[in-house]
Amino acid sequence: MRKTDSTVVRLLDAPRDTPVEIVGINGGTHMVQKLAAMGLTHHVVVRVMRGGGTGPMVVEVRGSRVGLGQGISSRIMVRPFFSDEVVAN
Amino acid sequence: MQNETLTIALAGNPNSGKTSIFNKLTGARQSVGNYPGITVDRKEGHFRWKGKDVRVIDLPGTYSLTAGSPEELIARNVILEEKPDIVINVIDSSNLERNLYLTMQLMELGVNMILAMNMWDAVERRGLKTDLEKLEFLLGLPTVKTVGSKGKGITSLKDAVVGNRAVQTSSPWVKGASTPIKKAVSVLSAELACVNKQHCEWKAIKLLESDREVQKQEDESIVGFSLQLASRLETQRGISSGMLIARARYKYIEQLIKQVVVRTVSSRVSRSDRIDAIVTNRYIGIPIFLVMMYLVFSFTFTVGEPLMGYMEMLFKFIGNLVSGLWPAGSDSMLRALIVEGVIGGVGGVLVFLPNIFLLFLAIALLEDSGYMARVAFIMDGLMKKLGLHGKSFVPLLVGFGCTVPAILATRTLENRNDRFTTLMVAPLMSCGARFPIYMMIIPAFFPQAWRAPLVWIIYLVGILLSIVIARFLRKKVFKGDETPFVMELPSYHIPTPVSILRHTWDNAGEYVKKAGTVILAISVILWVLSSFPRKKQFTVDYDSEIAAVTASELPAELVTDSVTVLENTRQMEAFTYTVTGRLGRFLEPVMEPLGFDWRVTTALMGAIAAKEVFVSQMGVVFAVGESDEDSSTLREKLRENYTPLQGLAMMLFALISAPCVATIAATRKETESWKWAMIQLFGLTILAYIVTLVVYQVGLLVT
Repeated sequence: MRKTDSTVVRLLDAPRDTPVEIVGINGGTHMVQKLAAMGLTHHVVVRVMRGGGTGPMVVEVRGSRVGLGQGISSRIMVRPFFSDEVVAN
Repeated sequence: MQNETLTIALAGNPNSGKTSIFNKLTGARQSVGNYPGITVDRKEGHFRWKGKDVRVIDLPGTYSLTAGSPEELIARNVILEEKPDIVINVIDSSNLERNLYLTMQLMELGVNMILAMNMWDAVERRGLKTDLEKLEFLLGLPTVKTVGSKGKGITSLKDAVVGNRAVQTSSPWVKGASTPIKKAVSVLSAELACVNKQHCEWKAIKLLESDREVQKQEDESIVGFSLQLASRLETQRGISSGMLIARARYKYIEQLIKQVVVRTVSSRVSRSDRIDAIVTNRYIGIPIFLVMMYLVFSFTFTVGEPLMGYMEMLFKFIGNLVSGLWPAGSDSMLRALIVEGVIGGVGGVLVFLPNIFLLFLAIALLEDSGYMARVAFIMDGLMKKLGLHGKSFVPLLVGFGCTVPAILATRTLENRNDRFTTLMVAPLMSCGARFPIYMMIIPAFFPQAWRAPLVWIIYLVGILLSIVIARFLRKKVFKGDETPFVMELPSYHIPTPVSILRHTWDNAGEYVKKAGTVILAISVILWVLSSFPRKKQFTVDYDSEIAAVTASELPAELVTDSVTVLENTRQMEAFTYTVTGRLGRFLEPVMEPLGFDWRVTTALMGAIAAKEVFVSQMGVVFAVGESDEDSSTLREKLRENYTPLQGLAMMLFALISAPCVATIAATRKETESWKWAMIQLFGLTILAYIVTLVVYQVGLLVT
């Protein structure tokens, strides 16, 4: 795995239209489950469709579009995903 | 077994088309109720098919079955406690991966299930080749292809229900999960006491997810053990056990989909994405939204205005009709009660029905098309600064039309703190009924050039106060974490007329019901207070005066004018004698620092029935003839008696103070408690007092 801390960024800061893999979610049980219900789990690959800027951002995850507020997208950690990689279990 | 009744429950994601399946299954045979204690609608319906009666419970639309939100908890408890014979899981077939997550959780519950593969036409359109037979085989569940909006597949679904094709489920993902998870589930479920093996497994999974509701029902030792297992998992994998379980479910789903779906078209830019690129654009998103809202309001008012006139005529007609049952000139108390109290009170609220219906119609259109989700989205940044949620925006906006639907519309907010904060400040949005008040006062005191800016200022004062109050409430009263803004942006689709009308009717019906119950009761009380005690002895013998004027040889026009003045003077004298009149005089010293005399005070009390009553009440206390906001005689009276500063004070107080009866009733119903309704009533009135006091007193010093 090419998981070095230098490449891990907040989802909030992730580039647009680039696949990124979720590697961490800093939140309580409730938030984790709410995110999971929308398809946002560890190791899932998401794509930022619309950057946050001042408002919420839109990500594509598991075939649907999900809007995420700034507070929450700053607590989701992602790293670049390369399609030749095998996603960790 | 011909007369056996089957109970089925519909479960599915929001936007999976579950409601249209429910409507197509049950037709008109539906009823809407409430789950006790919370305001989640409970929808039920019936259908008869091949000799069997089937009762259908429409569960709230949810993405999962955690204990975290009332909707999810309700959906889960209905399944656990009411034990429906069959659960139909309605699935958006074009979005299997996310939709199957709920399916996994329903299967964990061990229910008898049928999958309704809804929106099947979208699957074909998007070129997602889906092998249903394989899906049936792998999940071990029967499936039925449906297109709810077009009524396709409904008969097959009914056949599957009465033919009892449902299959009992179990958690399919557990077997494929990694060993530590599998082990934790089996070790824990062996310790639990439950109905059957599947039930044990479900409880074990929930405990490992730290589910509060299940924790409450189990022994401390069991909960302690589950927490121990959970933390062991966590240290092993570095991820919380809740997340590990969610991940295991998805892993199973991913593998399932790999075997079932073949993507033949790989275009990722859908029509919805193209629309979103425009309407959620950072620069033009908000302007587009403002134009939409302008269209909604102008539609509501241009179409609604004449209809409202018809409603007024209708109630006047009914009033006259009922009046006619008594002999002319009769002084029957019952007649006055029915005509003035009941018909006048309820009619006064129901005349707004056309406007409310149209407003709800427009909102249903925006909601069902998928646009409303985007509104919450584009407004979230701004609303967050105000201490509110993106979804608070629409209810507050509706508040400029009428506060009652605004309060009903707060239901879209899932978080109680956000919802109550929004609901409490909703009356500060200056509603349509307050407009006549400004229209009466402003031209009376202010020159043309000032008028439009003044209306703006009044509206702005309401908005600014709501921001201040919302921030205060969110910080001090409805504390708690900022609700994470996570919401699906569903694909756009063209709503069907039937679903729009039904949606509208559900909401408008709520308003009618309220008018028939709470508002009726309060109207009668207010009528009694402003009619009793009755004055028998007047200072002037009005009847003979009127007779004298009528008999005189004055020009006809002058005669009618004098008669009206006389009648109104009598009315005012009678009114001063009543409880409300006395209360006005009694409260005068309290209201004087705000610049209000007893007449304004009583008119303000009348405004509690409905804000626009202020205008007609002022007409009564000033004893002018027919009074509406265009009445120039009333304006002259105002000019003679008050200063512009007092006029401003009246508008401010009318804007902020006591919400109308309908609002109080709505708040009471939506919060399920009188407490919040009373806090809103008195809180806003005290706020109005303080603001008006400051403005008036400072104004006195300056001028």
